[in-house]
Amino acid sequence: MERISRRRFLGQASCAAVGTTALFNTVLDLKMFNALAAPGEDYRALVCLFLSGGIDSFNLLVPTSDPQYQEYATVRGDLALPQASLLPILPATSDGRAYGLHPGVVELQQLFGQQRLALVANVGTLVEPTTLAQFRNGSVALPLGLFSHSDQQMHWQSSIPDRRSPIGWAGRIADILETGNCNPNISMNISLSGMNIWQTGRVTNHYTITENGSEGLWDYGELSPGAVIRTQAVDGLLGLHYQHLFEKTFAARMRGAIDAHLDFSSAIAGVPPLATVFSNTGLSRKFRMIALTIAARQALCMKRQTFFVEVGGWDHHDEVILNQAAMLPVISRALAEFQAALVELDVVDQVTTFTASDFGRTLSSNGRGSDHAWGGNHMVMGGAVAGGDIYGSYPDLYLGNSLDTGRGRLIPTTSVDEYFADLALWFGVPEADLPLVLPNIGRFRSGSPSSRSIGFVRDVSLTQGS
Amino acid sequence: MAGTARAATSPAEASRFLSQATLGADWEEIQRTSRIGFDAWLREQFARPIGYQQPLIDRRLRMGLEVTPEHRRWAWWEQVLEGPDPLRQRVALALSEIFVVSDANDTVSQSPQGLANYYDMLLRNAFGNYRDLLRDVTLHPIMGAYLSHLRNEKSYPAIGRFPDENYAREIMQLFSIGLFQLKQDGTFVRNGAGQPIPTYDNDDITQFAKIFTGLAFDGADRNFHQGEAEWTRPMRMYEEFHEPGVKRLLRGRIVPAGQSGMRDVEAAVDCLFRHPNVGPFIARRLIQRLVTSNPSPGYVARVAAKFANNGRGVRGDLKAVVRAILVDPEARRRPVGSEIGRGMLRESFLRRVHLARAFDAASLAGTTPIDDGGAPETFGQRPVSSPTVFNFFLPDHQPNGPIGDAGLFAPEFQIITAVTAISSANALSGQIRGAMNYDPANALEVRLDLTDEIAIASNPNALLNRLDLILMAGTMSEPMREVLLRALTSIDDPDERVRTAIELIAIAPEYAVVK
Repeated sequence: MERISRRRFLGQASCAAVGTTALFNTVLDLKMFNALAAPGEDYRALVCLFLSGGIDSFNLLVPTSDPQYQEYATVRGDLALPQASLLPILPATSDGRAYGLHPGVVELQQLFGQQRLALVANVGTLVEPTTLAQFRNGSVALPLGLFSHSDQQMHWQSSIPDRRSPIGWAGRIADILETGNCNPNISMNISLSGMNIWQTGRVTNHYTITENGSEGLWDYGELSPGAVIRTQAVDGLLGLHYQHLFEKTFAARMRGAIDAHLDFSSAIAGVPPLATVFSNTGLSRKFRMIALTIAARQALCMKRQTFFVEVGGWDHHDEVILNQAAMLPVISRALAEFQAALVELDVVDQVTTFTASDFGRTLSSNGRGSDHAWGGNHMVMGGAVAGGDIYGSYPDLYLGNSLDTGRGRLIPTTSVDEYFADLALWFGVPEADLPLVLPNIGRFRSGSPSSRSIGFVRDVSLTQGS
Repeated sequence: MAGTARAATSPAEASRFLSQATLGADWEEIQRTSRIGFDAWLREQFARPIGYQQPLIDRRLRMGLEVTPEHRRWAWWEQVLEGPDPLRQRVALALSEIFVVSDANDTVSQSPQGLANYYDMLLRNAFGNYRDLLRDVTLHPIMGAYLSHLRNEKSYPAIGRFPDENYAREIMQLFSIGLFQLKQDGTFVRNGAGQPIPTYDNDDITQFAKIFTGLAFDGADRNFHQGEAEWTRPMRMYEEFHEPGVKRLLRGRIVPAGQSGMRDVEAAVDCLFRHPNVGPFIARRLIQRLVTSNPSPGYVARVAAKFANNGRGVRGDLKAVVRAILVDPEARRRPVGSEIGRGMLRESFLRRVHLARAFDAASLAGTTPIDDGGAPETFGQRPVSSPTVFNFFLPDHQPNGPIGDAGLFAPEFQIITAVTAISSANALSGQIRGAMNYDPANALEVRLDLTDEIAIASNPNALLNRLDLILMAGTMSEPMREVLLRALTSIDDPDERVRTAIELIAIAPEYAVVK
């Protein structure tokens, strides 16, 4: 009883705290929409794989035809991958160049060939559309803290690079959509990698689990006399009224974690084991737990979920070749295993996974690695993805080209807003409400609906029969 | 002595002071500090010998024993629990969360001896001058390996190769001046449009990147590329790999062509040291580590003024800065009930350290081999194991909900998740009920000494008074006390009564916040 009323309180607070008529209407709209949804299961999940540190993604997706490969080899110098080592891919639409993937991502090459994986070229944070001349003469607003890790991670997760927002776009979606989920104790936003801005809403917190699931307080709720005494005391301490905001917040976190564990652990316990085999890496184990959580969606009473998983160590000022050769296969295998598990669970069209990272890196070398830059290449995976193609505009790679701000720090040609808009629409955010989730989207997205999207999602309509 | 009466302070105030100035204090230290007063305590601490880690590592090496990352962590615990210099250990830990290196980095973890030497460098400079600290950090091979300016080479324009920008960026963003121009009270200088003004741009970074070229190990073989890894000596300048020519620094300062590479480095360190941002930047960071997440502008300004001039014309005197932080009225005055954002959340891992120091954790064998293998997951934190150079949490982290709505910062909440909130509480239970490490023979197991508490456990009120003073500086509220009393009076066994009391305090919201 107490738990449900707490969530109800939060639900009311969410409307009151934001206090805009628009948001209130949206909540009503979505409730109506849910009521009108077509028969069959209405479930969707977005999974963000955050490659923190700033992945050198111009060695992930490389032009293989000449003269572009030669341009690549010249600008990258000792960082260039041999032409023959690149895994060829055949994009559905041609920009006249041939492309290959890093030799370590065999599974991703296969997923691309099976049209389950799309690539989006030269994505990055932008406050508004930006040309090199505008960059140089200062006539456009630029993302705050350009090229800085902490700032660009924040902007990639908030999608508001013109200010420092601790609220992320999945958090904003959750503030709107949470009422569509009926579990009072578990957030629709689940993190496998701790705190993150992407899933932090104004009122919605994300729920954190580990690769092994949720964490329970020792002895809590057990029946031994000592446990009963301690359980009552814990409930007593967490139930006191706290004026100090830090105490209040700490108490809420503890209380929320204890309650959520009771629900989450019992829901997961009811899931049959997966036949899909996952590699013994931290990342694969995390994706396995995401798959299990999705399998438990009905017990958890979830119609919409997001998952955040972060893998760090991409800040390769040093040894980029060696490190990527070791790290990219881990990513490739984990994504492929996750995709196989989604097929096994028959939810392949209902789960979309995308990559994000602080920034791309300089095309030119520092002798051992590359430095912080701006635009980079990204991946989107799932049954709803129009895979087997490269979206956006793959840039020229020679130094001094029309996007080069110096050393091959390229101005992005697709903004994070555009990248996320297609994902948010697929997830169920109505086009009219997109600015609530991505406040700057109007600066990038105009014209007819067909010309607005980047196009990597096959079907952006919300209702979908099973 | 005439000053004695004036110097004395109540045990509760002494406990509160020690919760800011140390990593935890036991009953005796609280009583002693209460008798001698803060000023005498500070003077005494500034004069104490230094509890260095590297000698403990070197002792193992001399005995022919292996040295792994966990042995450095043993050394950390040994000095934190047994060392002569609690204030210095507290400040050095704070510095390690500003001038971050981490054994989560493979290269750094390969040299526990070098990492101990780096930490000792922080200990040595903790009461020294910030300029020396910034230079020593810059030239330390552990930092060189961590932020990749070790073996960073000059540019080779013909093949499109440019100096590594990593250290150039982070020394400015994280170690000295930060991203935006600051007033002396730590608030942003703003332009006509109300926007903060960047302290540097990417061109500045490419200029500083040229400075930090030519540095490599100072081994006997004097080889830039393949030289023997000498982790305990400052990096050496190899002129042939150092970028020649003029470099433009900040605020119009120019490094002329033709001077030695090391003079370039000194000039860059000087340029940053003289920047008006450093005082308020470092003041805010240290205040956040020691006293409060949200210092008032006046508090930052008072500490920044001490940074600018210690009273004897010296800039960068960290001893003066530490003293200013701890004796400031904003640190010393207890918040009243309406001040609902003062103080800070205890760092997750520091609850473990606090309990160990408050109850004299020790082993039968006398050593404290605590390795904290699972701490990064359990607590979200372990000293010198940050996942990135940005520390475990950001100084401007704002949890959503009431703290964020009030516009307040609470960095330490960034690592309190539904996982770590629970797993850390479980780990604290383990520490209170069992040992802080595992030894099949028991002799090396480090346990809390609760003898004095068990002795008074028959009187639950007396027990709570004592625990309130040691752990919470006498701030326990009446409702919290009632919850604990109800539990304790249901338990007959004195040992169990004491352990339950400490366990409940350790997960209580009122304990979690140092006010």
